Amino acid sequence: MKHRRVITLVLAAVLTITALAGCTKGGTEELIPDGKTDTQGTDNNGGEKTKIVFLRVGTEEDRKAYWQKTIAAFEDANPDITVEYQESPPGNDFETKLNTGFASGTAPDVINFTMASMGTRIPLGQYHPLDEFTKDWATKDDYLENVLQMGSRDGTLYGVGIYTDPRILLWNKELFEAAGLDPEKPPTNWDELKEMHQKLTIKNDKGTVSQAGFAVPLSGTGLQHLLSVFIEQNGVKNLVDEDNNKILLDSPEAIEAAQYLFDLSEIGTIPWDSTNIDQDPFMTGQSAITITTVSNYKTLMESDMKDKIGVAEPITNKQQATFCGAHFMFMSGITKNKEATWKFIDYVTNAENTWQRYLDLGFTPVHKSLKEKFIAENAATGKAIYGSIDAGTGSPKVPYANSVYNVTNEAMEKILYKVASPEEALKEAAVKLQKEIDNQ
Amino acid sequence: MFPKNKVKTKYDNCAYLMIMPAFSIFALFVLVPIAIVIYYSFTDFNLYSAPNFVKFNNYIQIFSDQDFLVSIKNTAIYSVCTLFPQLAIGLSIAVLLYRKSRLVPLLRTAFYLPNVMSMMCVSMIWLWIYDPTTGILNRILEFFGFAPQLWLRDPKLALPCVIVLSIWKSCGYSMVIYLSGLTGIPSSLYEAAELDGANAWKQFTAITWPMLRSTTFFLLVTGIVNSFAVFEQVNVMTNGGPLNSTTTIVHQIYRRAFLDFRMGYGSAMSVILLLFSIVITLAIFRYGNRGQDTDVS
Repeated sequence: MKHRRVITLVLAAVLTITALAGCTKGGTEELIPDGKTDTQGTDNNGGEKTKIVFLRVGTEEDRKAYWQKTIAAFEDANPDITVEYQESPPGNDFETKLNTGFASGTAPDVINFTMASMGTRIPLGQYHPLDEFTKDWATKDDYLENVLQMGSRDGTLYGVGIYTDPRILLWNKELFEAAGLDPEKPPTNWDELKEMHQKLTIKNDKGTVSQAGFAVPLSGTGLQHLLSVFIEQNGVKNLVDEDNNKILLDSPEAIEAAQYLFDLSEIGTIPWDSTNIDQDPFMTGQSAITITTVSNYKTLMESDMKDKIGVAEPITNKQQATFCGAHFMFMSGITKNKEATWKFIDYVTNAENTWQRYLDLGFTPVHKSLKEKFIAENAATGKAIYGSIDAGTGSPKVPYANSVYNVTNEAMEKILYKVASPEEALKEAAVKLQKEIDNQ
Repeated sequence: MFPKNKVKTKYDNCAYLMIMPAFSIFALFVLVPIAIVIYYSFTDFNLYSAPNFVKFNNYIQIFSDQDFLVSIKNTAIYSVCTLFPQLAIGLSIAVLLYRKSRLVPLLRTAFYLPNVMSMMCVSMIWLWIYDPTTGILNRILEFFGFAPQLWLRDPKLALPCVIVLSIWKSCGYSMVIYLSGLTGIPSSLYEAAELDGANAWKQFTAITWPMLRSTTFFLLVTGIVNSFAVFEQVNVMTNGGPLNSTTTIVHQIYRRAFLDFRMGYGSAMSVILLLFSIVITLAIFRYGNRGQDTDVS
């Protein structure tokens, strides 16, 4: 009988241990292997290679091929370092992947992500300041000022830009011609945009819009970008003033800009969701003017519409302005391989690789030394793209950036769905944002 | 029931030991996380820094958070409008397919198929169906001369669109459970009813429905818990919009905890959700679990 009790006890213990075996830390050991914790490359690894993990935002096949090629070249040039390539779709998926990585101590060493992430992630120590590496870094002087500024916060550089993401003005020359407009003259200010929008908008007898001049989206996460473009053209610094921590989206100029967008929408629009670029009526030839990304322009250049599209510099009301985001290489705040990580960042951001990135992916170079070369190769568009980069302002780098986007998108939806007037919606949004800031 | 004066035997210890592995897993992966979430709900935890105790601040904020209040309303509407049609359709299909025919296995498989598909994939498919420009639904409307709709972009239609998808996906599951319930009803009852002159409807209301009470109870409880946790389809199809018309409690928890880095606040929302689930489940157990002792032997 005693034996039976012992056997039962042993069996229960074995079952418990087996069941709990999956709870060990084994799952995270692959990303940051033990023994590779030096900060001096491979010097302290006893001859082993240093492995760093590179996480890129986006899953496009052509970009993946480019990065894999670049990583292979980097590994050839640095045989003591291996780079593990990872990628994840943009938006919430990427944010969640990074959050879980940092929370579990398995965050990648190098992160390719947007400027919008800086406001929330720098205060949390997730991005390492790069000043110690860039003090004597020759490439820094070759960088476009605006790109360096975008990658900095409070005078400290955190992200090295690999490409910018300005919102450029595109117009469909064929639709301009059909509406009796000069196909070579895009709008340059708010008045012209409104006038052209009216002429280009076509409605059927039931009032349904079959073609819009400038199709204002009805919803989606891109509304805050659109509003920021127009409020900046109307003289406002940004949705919030990050230097003085002041909310600007309820300023009279911002309300006027929102009213302007609402008026355009009232003249006529094809309702679409700005989160889903496939729905953009401009991309399907149902709209004649848009403010969109260089990447979308590239897509159009590979389509049947390539000969119909023109690129223009940002329009003006009180000043010329547009939204200009950027993609950066960030060093993880918890990486244990800082030297190897910096070597990789330095490699992919040098002028040679930046030009290669343009050749492979069409990204506008962010180096001064490459600007003229790019404009020479892209006579029709180069100047407009650099003009948009120079005039562009990015996302506010504040810890509550996500709240700014959510609140602004919600306010714009209220305006465009006619739930509230621009003044009511933006004032209410400012109050809500202030409350969110106070609660954080 | 166990007698009150039951003497503890040596087999009790053995039983406790044998359930220990399962209980350890349950404690580690369910009870401990719940305890941690309750603890975080009283802190300002942001995922990365040490949490500070903030007393009831998170709970106080929640009840003035308009987005959260809207999400409670949406979740309630979603739960009611999904659950009952899903049960009704599942039961109807089960009754119709509870017969011998060569087509029956094929039809049962077809109705059950959506349930085994990933919600992510299904949501993508329905996104295309609902697409205002290229979606098949608007094409059909236009073909019959109706005006196209914005579907997921219309604040009034977005939640019903999500509900329709959820009903479509889940009614196959209800059908399978009801079919298993139908097999437990003795055919002698129907034979006796026929002899008494009961028609098909009378047989359904007097025999089938009462005999499926425990099956319905099971589906109701699991369905409510699942409906309260609705997230994937909302996140993929609408991201809670437009105008927060489809945001749900779990969507708000995800937004606050993982996008705004307010894990403490998100934890407080999770505790509220847990309380809702417990209260409603207890209420169903209290008032909905009667008449389960029908003896048909």
